[in-house]
Amino acid sequence: MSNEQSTPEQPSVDHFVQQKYRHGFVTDIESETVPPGLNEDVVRWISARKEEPEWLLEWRLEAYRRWLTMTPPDWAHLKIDPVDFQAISYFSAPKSDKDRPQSLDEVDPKLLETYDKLGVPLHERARLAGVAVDAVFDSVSVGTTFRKELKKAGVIFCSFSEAVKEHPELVKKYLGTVVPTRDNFFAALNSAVFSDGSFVYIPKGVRCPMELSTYFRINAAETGQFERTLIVAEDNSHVSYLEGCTAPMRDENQLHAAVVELVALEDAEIKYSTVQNWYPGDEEGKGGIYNFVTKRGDCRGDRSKISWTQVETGSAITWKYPSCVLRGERSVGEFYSVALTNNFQQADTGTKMIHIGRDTRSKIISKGISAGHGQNAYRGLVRISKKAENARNFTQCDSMLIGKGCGAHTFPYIEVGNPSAKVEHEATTSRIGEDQLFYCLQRGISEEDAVSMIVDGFCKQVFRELPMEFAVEAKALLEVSLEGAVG
Amino acid sequence: MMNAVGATPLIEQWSEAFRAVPQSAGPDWLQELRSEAARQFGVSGLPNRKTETWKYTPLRLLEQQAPSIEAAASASPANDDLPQTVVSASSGMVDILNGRLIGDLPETPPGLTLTPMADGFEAFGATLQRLLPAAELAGPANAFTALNTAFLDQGLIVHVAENTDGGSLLLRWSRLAETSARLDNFRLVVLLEAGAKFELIEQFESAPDSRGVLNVVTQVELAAGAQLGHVRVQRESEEATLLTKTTVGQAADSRYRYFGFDLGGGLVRHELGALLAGEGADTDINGAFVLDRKRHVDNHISVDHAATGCSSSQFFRGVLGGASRGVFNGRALIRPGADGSSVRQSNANLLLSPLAEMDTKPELEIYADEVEASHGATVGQLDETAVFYMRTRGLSEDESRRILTAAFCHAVTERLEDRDFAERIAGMFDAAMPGGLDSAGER
Repeated sequence: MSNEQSTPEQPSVDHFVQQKYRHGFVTDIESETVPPGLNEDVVRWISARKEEPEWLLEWRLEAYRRWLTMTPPDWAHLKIDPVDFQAISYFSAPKSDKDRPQSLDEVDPKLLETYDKLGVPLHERARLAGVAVDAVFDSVSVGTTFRKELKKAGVIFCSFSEAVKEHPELVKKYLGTVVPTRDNFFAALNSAVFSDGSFVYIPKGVRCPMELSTYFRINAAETGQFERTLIVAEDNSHVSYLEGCTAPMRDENQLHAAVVELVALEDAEIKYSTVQNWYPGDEEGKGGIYNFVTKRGDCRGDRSKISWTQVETGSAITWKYPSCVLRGERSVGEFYSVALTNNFQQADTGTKMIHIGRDTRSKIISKGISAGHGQNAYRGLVRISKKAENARNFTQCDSMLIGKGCGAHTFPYIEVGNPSAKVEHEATTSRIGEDQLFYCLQRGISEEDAVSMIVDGFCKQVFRELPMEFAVEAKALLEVSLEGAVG
Repeated sequence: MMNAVGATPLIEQWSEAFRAVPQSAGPDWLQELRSEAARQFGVSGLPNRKTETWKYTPLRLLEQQAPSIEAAASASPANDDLPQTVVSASSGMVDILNGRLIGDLPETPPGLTLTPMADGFEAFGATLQRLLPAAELAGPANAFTALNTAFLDQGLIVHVAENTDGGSLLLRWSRLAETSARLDNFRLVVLLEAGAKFELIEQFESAPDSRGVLNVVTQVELAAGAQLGHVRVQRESEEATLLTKTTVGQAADSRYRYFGFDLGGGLVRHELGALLAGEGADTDINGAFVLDRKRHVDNHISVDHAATGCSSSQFFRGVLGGASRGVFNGRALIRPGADGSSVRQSNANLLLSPLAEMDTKPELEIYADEVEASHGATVGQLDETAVFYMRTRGLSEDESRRILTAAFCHAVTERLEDRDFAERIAGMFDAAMPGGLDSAGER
């Protein structure tokens, strides 16, 4: 990997505009896409383009300089072709409406078929398929009604860029305090070049009146490949946040490196649910998104709680470990995960539960399903530090294998330094139950239906944690994702 | 923690020691293998915290003692100076003092032959030429195997002929108090022909103030239908380092049954890797340890299912008091096509002291679908209701805890087939119990 640095004296914006012309990559002068490559000027350009304050630029640059000293992690159970980080364009403005399909008739019929199977409501299909917003429905009005209600409750829910402008003191106070810029290679990269993301602030004593979903945030779909999310829950507050959607997400960018930071203060509770269905590549394993995500929650206050629920069915490569740092006394961390790999997908995912405060509790339920040639690894860490009196962890990770060519792997790290801790880990790996299959077939249920029923039962513990509509969609999503895995 | 600065002098010192060793007798291929191993060691150096398989086992003791590699002077100590034997084995005993065979090898029953490494190249030339280079040398994780190979000189070959019962043999490893710390290397080769049966019992002990490192590499080959029982009882001193690596190659329907009992040691690490290469092979790996003071015991188990219909089990129990640290890494790999495999792993630990630490990592890596695999790991304390029950029967709190903690380890000793031997080992565990929470760290 080459991280060339150009001289900082170069006039940044002009320089790149010229470059575009020189290479003839982009003919539209108004479009704002930086040419491939990363150096300090690109970081400065992104920051300037977003009209960021000086301190944020400095923060980005510091992250960039750190990133230069780091190497991509190679410990995961993943086979990844080396990524050329200088071949990636680090900023691309949202598509203008004229570049989008003008109606559903212009959308890939295969995609529409999938929406049908997933039961995506008709009025949502156009938005999901990226049809020009104005041509479909007035999303602004949906957004505004929604915002009014949140404003009444005092909740801040906006894009990250907006937050930097409107609430700089909050962003400055919390940004990078959970996932520091030096945390890992991808977190450093994200910190240097993050495009946009969500910011949520729940004031003291407020229970967020509705489930917050990126779906309702205007332009949410265009946050780009380096998304940054920060959620702060003040004392005694509560929020449930939904990320992603079950509909397949296509993206031009192959590399995604998001960072999510959660801060829960005293008695606060954050529930973070994700359904990830990025393009997984085709049946041959060609293409597909590389998803390298750093997600971490900090239970800073006593009796705080952070709960992660994820349904991961997409991406060619998933590298993701939503974690909880249980600092506050009696704080609680939870992780519920369903990860499915089919065809040539690879996933190395799990969680870290770092027990620091006394009487902290954590629970990990992980369900991995491997089909086709998919490789699915659970990697987890449960650490009970010396001071964490009476800490408690329960971990269960089960893997199901469907087909000859797939793999299921479990790498749990358990580090216990306090004698009052109780840590339990159990894991099983087995083939999809033949007797169960046989029973279903014998009752006249088709093989495909039987498999999806069994898989659904296998994942029930996790689906139960999802908000209801999400759970229904997640079930349908697994069925779609497993298509062709049997028979 | 081992770091590059601290490690460099040791690597240089040992590499220098290699150059000083006169190239002793042995075939050409062996000289080449030694040089290659020394080269590998020089390139990779010692493992440190960033070496994944060594991340929980720092080499602090080793760094402090900076042991030298030089042949120990041959000694013939009085039998009283050597530790008591843990068992009397039917086929006799072999004494290995400071990494060197001492005394005469015992008279063995027909079918069992014991050959010192130096004499082995004639009788077992082809086998050794295949086996010795098979030990992995590359990378810091294998640094001690590379060292062992570079200094390959002392060793023993145990051979059991086809369809014979070799009885049981005791290897008594002992170390006497030394003024300077040394690193001693030894290679053990155990070959069981088809249908052979044998039991190997190893006892590792050292004088209370003995220091230094004993670095043993054991290579076991079990031909079709062979059965090997392997028991290790380790009671090394607090200053002693014991680094051992055992690899077991198993042909069809062979059976390997291992018991490791760790009751002492300063820094003890045992890497045990079984390769189930033939259909229907079976391996059963058990271990128990009780630690106090600053002892460190690391059991690294790896079972590789490369054929169909094989089964493996890993069963480990640990009790940690004082400022001790226990590490368990149990890996099971099921290769593509190894259908009908069954894997069970269980690791339970009791933490008795606020300064003790347990790091456990039961890993499953599965590439075949007709398999059954499960693992469980726990770290915790005694069941308070059980303690309460004992107290209602008139036992003191301390006594209740001692009994229950000992019983926790007996779950492993009970799996031994030889009842008398099991009782004796259980007795050792009872005596080694760190007691209740209050007396943690004291024996």
